[in-house]
Amino acid sequence: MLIKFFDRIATRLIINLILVAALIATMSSYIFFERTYKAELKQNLASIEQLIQAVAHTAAIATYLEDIVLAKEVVQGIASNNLVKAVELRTNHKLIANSGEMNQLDEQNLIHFQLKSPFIKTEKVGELIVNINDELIQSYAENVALEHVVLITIHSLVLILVIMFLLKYQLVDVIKMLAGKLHTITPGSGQRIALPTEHIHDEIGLLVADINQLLTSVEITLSSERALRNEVEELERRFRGIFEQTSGGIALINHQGYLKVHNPSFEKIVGPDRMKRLGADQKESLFSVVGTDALTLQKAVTQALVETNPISVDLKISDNDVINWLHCTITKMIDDAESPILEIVIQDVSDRRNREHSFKIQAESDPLTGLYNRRSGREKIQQQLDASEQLDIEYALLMIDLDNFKPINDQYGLKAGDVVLTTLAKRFMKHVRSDDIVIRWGGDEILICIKQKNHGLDITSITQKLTDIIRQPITLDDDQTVTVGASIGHAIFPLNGFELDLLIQRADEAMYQVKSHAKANPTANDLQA
Amino acid sequence: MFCFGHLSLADIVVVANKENQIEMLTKKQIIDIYMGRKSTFPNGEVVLPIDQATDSTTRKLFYQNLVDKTVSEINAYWARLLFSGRATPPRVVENGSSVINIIKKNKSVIGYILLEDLTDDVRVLNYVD
Repeated sequence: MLIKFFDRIATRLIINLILVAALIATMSSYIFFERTYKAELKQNLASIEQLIQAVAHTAAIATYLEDIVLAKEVVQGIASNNLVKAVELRTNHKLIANSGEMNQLDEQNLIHFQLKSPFIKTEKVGELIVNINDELIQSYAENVALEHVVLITIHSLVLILVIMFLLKYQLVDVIKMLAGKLHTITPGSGQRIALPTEHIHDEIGLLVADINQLLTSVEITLSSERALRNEVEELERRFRGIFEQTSGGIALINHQGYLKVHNPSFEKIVGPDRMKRLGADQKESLFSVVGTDALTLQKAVTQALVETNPISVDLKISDNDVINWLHCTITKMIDDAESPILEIVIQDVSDRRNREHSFKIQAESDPLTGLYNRRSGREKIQQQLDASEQLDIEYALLMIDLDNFKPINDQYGLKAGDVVLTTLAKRFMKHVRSDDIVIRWGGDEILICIKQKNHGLDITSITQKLTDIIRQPITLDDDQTVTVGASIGHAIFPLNGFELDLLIQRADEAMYQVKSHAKANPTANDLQA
Repeated sequence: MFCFGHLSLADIVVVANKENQIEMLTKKQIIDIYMGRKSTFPNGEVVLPIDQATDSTTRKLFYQNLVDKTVSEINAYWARLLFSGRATPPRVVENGSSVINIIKKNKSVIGYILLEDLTDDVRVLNYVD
């Protein structure tokens, strides 16, 4: 509340007053000087004129007669006046008497008085020249002006003192009081400035009323702000609760996958090891900790950056042979070209995925051998064919029917038949490539679909190889070994047709041909088997 | 040389010795001589002007005609110059005949007389009217 001396209103006001008073004093003094000087000059000129008039006759006689003595008398008479600096009395031809130092150049202070002959009025007999003492007149005028300055200064000082006094008691003290009170008031405390009774109807009263009104409106604003803030805090607490307690993992990441914020569920789902890597000093990106599906996540993030809709993606995370599935929903939160922020919501969907997976496996496979069942196997082949129609790929469909299978069932029991089938299934799976499809087509029928690129299909060698595999002895549970043979018929896509049903039919027919040929020629059959 | 048409009883003439070389004096020359400004004739010879008695009518008329001043004004003029010594007033004689007498005896003297008092003993230098 302490205001520097020179910043105070009263100080500045007084300084301004003093400056104005000084200016006025200077200007008016100058005017006074000029006026006094001119008036004095005029008056003195007039009195000198009178003086000259008084001696003019004598001077005329003196010049008329060139009477030096008389001339000197006249000159001395004039010079005795202190307003006169110098006097000269001249005839038409020469100077006859003078007094003082005449300055001929001081034209404006010279009075030339023409002297006429005392007897002939038209005849000029001489000239009386008087040099006025201008310095005297000037100093007189200066004195008058100075006196005036002194008077004005005293006058101004008195006025300033009075103004200061009035200012102090009528304005500055009141403003000080108001400022002091306002300074101590805390907005919102309900305090108000009391209206000074003597100022009810003037500007101070208006100011106080306005300040009080302002305080009221500030209070209203403050309380509504406070209520709003409480509301926002409550809302924030609730949202935070949801954020903290939700089962879904929520995190904010930047476009490079670095973690900004996350909730406890996120930590739980991602796991402590990965969290350590995400949060450690050598901070790693979320992309680098998800492992094999990093590219999938990165692609999803890139897509989310350019799209307004949330992007969902399932990530496969494997920890020590345990596979977890995370369902991620990525949404762009802050659309800032420099550093966009994305929200990623993750859910552990491993249970569901695993369940779905096993259901699928169960539905698709033959329970005994684990091979594709007829329906799903057929679908798989159809998918392959659908995908390959435009490509330079061949498929060989091999229909295998086991020989001597029924006798083994009959001889060793149904269990032995099961062992034969499972053993063969394992052998097939071991020898075929991942693209190839092995199907348990019927009781002892197996359908194999072999994919071959670039027309390198050697069907004869494949058939031979399969026959060899089948003919390997099979050990039953009781250490007995049995051997089975097989009749293999084949059809080739696209050589033998485009339709799967047709191709299967052709393979089947070919297989029956082989089988019937073998029955007809047991030796040949033996050889082939 | 003379202009009689202007003559009247009040006319005053300025006269000098007949032998005087000066033929005439102008009015201004007469004033300068009588008021003490000049003490010589225009040719450089000394001139001695003479006045008539203070209370005489002729003197009164002379100064009135010459410089339009009263006798007392002329007396004041001379009184003013009493102590300077530069100029002295003309010598005073009793009347017009005294003037003629002095002029007859002295070549340097000039004087004034009424026209009616004029004799052949003197020569007129000018009229004062």
